[in-house]
Amino acid sequence: MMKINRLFTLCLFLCSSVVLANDSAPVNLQYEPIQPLVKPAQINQEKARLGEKLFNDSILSRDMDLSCASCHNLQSNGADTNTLGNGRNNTLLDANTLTVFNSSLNHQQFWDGRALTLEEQINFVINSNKEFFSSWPLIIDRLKKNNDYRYKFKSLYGDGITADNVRNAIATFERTLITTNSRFDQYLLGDNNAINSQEKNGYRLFKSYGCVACHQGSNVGGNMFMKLGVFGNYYSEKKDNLKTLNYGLYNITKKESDRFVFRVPSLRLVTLTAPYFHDGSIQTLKEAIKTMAKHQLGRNINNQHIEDIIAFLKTLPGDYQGEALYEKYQSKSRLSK
Amino acid sequence: MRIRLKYIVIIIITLSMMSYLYIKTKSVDLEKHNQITRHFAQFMLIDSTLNQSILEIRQGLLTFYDSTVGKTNQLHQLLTEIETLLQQTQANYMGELQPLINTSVKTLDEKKIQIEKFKSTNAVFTNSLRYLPTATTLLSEKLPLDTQGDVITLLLTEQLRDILIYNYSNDDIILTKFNETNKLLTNVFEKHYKPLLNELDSLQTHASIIIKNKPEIDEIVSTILHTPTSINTNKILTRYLSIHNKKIKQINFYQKALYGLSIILILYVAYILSRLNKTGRALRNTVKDLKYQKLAMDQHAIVSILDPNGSIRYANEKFCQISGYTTEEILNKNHDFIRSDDHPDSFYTEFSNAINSNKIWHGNIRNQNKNAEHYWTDTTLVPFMNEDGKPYQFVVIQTNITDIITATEKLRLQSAALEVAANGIVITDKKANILWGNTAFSKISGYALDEIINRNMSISNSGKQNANFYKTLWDTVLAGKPWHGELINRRKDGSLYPEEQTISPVLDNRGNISHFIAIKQDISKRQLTEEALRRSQKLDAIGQLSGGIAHDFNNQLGITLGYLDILKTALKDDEKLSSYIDISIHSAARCVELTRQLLSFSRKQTTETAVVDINRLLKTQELMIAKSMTPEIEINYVLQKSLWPTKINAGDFQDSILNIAINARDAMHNGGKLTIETKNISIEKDNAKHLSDSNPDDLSGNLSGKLSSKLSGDFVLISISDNGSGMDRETVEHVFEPFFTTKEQGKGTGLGMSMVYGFTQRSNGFVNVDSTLNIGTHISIYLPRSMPALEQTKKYEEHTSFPTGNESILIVDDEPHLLQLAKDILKSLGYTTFLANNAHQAMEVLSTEKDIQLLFSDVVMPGNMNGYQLAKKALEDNPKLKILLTSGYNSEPVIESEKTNLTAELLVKPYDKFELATRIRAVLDKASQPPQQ
Repeated sequence: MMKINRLFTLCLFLCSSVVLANDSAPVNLQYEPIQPLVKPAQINQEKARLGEKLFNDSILSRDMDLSCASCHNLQSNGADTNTLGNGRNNTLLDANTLTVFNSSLNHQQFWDGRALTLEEQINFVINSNKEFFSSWPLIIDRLKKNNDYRYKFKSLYGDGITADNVRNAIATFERTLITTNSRFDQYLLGDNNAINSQEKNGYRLFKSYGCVACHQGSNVGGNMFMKLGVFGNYYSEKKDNLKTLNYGLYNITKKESDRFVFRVPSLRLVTLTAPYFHDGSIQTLKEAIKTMAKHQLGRNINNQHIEDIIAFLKTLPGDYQGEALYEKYQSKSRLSK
Repeated sequence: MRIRLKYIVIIIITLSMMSYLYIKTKSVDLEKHNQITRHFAQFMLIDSTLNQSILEIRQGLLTFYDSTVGKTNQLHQLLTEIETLLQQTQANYMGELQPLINTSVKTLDEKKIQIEKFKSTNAVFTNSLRYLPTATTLLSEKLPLDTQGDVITLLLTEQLRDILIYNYSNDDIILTKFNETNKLLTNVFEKHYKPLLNELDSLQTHASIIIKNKPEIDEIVSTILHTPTSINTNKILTRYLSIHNKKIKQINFYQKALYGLSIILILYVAYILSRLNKTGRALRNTVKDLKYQKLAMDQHAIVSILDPNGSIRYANEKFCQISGYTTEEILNKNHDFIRSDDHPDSFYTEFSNAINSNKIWHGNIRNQNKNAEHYWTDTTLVPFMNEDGKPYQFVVIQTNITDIITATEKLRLQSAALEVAANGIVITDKKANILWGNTAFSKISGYALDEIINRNMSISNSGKQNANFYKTLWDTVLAGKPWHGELINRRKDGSLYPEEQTISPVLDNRGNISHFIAIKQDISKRQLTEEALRRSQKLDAIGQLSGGIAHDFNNQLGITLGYLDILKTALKDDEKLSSYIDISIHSAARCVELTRQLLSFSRKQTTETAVVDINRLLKTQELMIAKSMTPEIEINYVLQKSLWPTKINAGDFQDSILNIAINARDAMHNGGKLTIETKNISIEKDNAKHLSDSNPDDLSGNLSGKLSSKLSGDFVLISISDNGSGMDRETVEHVFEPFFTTKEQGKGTGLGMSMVYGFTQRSNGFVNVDSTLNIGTHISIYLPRSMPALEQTKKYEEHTSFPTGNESILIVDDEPHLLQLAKDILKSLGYTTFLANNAHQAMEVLSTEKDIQLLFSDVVMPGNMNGYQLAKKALEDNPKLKILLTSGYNSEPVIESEKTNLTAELLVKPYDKFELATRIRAVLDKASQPPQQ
């Protein structure tokens, strides 16, 4: 009886696995935990262009040496490739730089979600003494001396150059940074051949392992908080010194339940944004997946599955300015090397 | 002005009230209101779908994670927008709603926290729940296929089943069982399956997560679903709507008030319009009336309208007619262009003053039309004032009163004439009651004018005329004929006087007698005059008689004296006889004087002229002139010695000098110098012409030719100069006019200089005035030189030698003895003589005897030719002939008429030998004169 039960259960499990693995029909998008990315509607392109100019302009930093693009390289991954980015006077930043691509889809900004909106996020960068170390009066004063900015702000915003308008312009630009048209999105939208069977299997594993419990939605994550180390103590095992940074959301809310809690990062560009985790301490994706399975899912995962999942993850990055970000990143990486 | 202010105030108040009400009605923005309510509805809808999404996630649909994020953000945004919209509404809702909104935001934040908690917990729980069967199977498979293994497997399977059915509530049995099973399994694995202990641990961890999280998730979901986000928001909505409805009610009230006010305003405007309409009608009627009035006025009056500067802006047809100008010529001209300037300056000053003080002016003006003809208007000038009290136009209304003025003037003159008439004039009604009488009548009748008004003419009745006389008088005048006659009337004092009277009836329009006009003359004086005239005629006859006798006397005395002279010469050696002759001569001379007196009495002209020495006359007058002058005036005499004699009336001369001296005194108020100078002067013809240029004789209208002949010759010049105020040219031109004076009223008669002029004229001289203003006046009197026929007493002085000559002389006289006497004397003097008894004979002698150089003729001769006529005729035949006339009297009219040509050559009878010799020689020696015209 027990055996039968056990066998039944096993059969059931296998059958379901087989059914899923052999599913060659197009997915039913309505119930898929991951949804394709959509270009945002109702974006004021003029403001976005002004935002792009500001994004690339070091006028915002005190020493006129840093711009948003200094850390968020739009020509590769929207972030940098360092564990911790280089801030003002080459000081290392506290946390690993997150990509700016698709960041508008995050429900809150930064690893610890301390900024509720992109506009708020800009404030932190401007005021941080490790980053721009600037101030709005300074920036507005500088922008007002620039005829081009003065004219554009005047024509786009009735009240000309204000901190709100500068933030709005940059955030508007950032909302355009959606990497649509990925192979996986094509697959979701009905192109069964857009991804291969390994990648499909990777997706299946991604879901069955439970990764998808946190990394769901169009951004494959980014829309909820999760404690780092649900199973076992992540930090004790790493034998790492606990830094303030590691407390995550606790630093904001000061609630014990929020200790080690971080915003779940988006996996859309995960294959392009190594190293990983808030401190950039994990160098490879394989290691990251392994760590995640162990501490977040309380499971072991074999290498084959990891490979398949990685194959799936590689189908996620879409295009930026008509060019596949993956290729862009590859060429950029090669060039930088 | 006050009325306008009132209207402005009313309009401002009404408009501000309406604006206030209008703003009040706009205090609720319906668009905003709809937006707000839409937002609330949206909020509640999204909130419910958010809850739905939570349940979907709970059901395992991971797709809804994104939507929870999106919807939470939307709810946040909606709340913010609601707040903003409420803030934007004009009504202040925020006071009451802000706390509710704050609560709502807080609730939403709490919900969000719960959702975040749900999302994390649910993810972990779901994973463990999904993995637990697999983990159980994987562990069971690793257990040995023995009894113990089967038991453990069964135990694990049972635990799996328990956990799967562990549901929704605190199932204490399952929980206790799980804890026990967990202890048991741990013990068994430690003892028997140590290598699998880790896996069991992992399995049990997942199981614990499920046991722990399941009720927690249920609780979180329950909390989320029960978080009163919608309820709180609904509270805001409810509160908002209640406030809003209250506002709407207020607005309705304001709207009604606005409508009410609008209706009142419309009614008021309608009222004003109706009143305006009424006023307009009245105005139209007034304008019509005014038009007719203007028409009427244009028919009657001369109308013009002037602007404040006096320029004509309007002139009617009558204006054009009377002024003779066309409308185009009149318009924009100053009204002064018809001004005649005939009024005194004071009139125009008064006129300007009246206009400048904005008063109505009324008066009569004499204007001038285009043909420079004058016309009179009765003028009223009315200034039209604007609100500032300044005239914006003048309306001038004039009536042509030229005829009236002319008639009035004529009447005035006539009335003045009547008033000053020498005759008494009386106007009576037809019953002879006196209506008016003039001064002369008053004087004649002795009644004052006011005494006789309304009295009957019969008051003058003297009773000297009988009833028949008056009946005739009345019958005549009542028949419409004038009566003329003389009658005796009685004065007021009772005295009687003769009166010549003419009574003329005056007829009225219907031809009936309405008035009588009586013209009376007191003829008592006339009767006296007539008597005097009769006497005078008698005297005249006596004069003529005595003149005739005197003439004959003179002739006889001349013969007597002449021959006594001859006798005296012959008997000069006999002293005794000589003395007798002398006595005879003296007696005869006295007879001559008596004759002369007789002649002067009989003369018609009263002014007697005599040959005088001017210097002597001036000396006798010296004291009198000195007394007439003020002490500041210095008098100088510059008298030429051996001044020529001149024949004048001495009294007239002295009066003339005195008049001129007094004028000089009056011209020298502050003293000065009066110089009286005499001098002999001969004037050639050319100079005479020059003199006559400035000669005031022009006044007499003499022709210059005649004048210059009069002005040439020898003259005695008397000049009187002063250094007083002098006269201007105009005064000089009028100086000789009778009654012209520059002196104050009553101080001068204006006859002084006329008298001077008359005197010089009578004396055949002339007078010249030369005056310069502020320098002085120089008056020159030219009196013609006269032959020295001096006083009679000198004539009979002893003469031992006489002027002689050998020329041929024709002697003409009708008296044979005188003719013989003249012949004897002239012969004794060496002359050849021819004799003639009359002019006819004389002409015959002259025609035969061409050597005759001098004609010595009596003036008065029988026949149709007197001495002058003879002389003239003889001169015509022989212009070189010298003439000497002689006459007993020089007042004969015939002689007067011819005298002008030959007066200087007259020897007055009776003459003596010396006188004759001297005059004959003088005439012969005189350069021959050109023939007289």
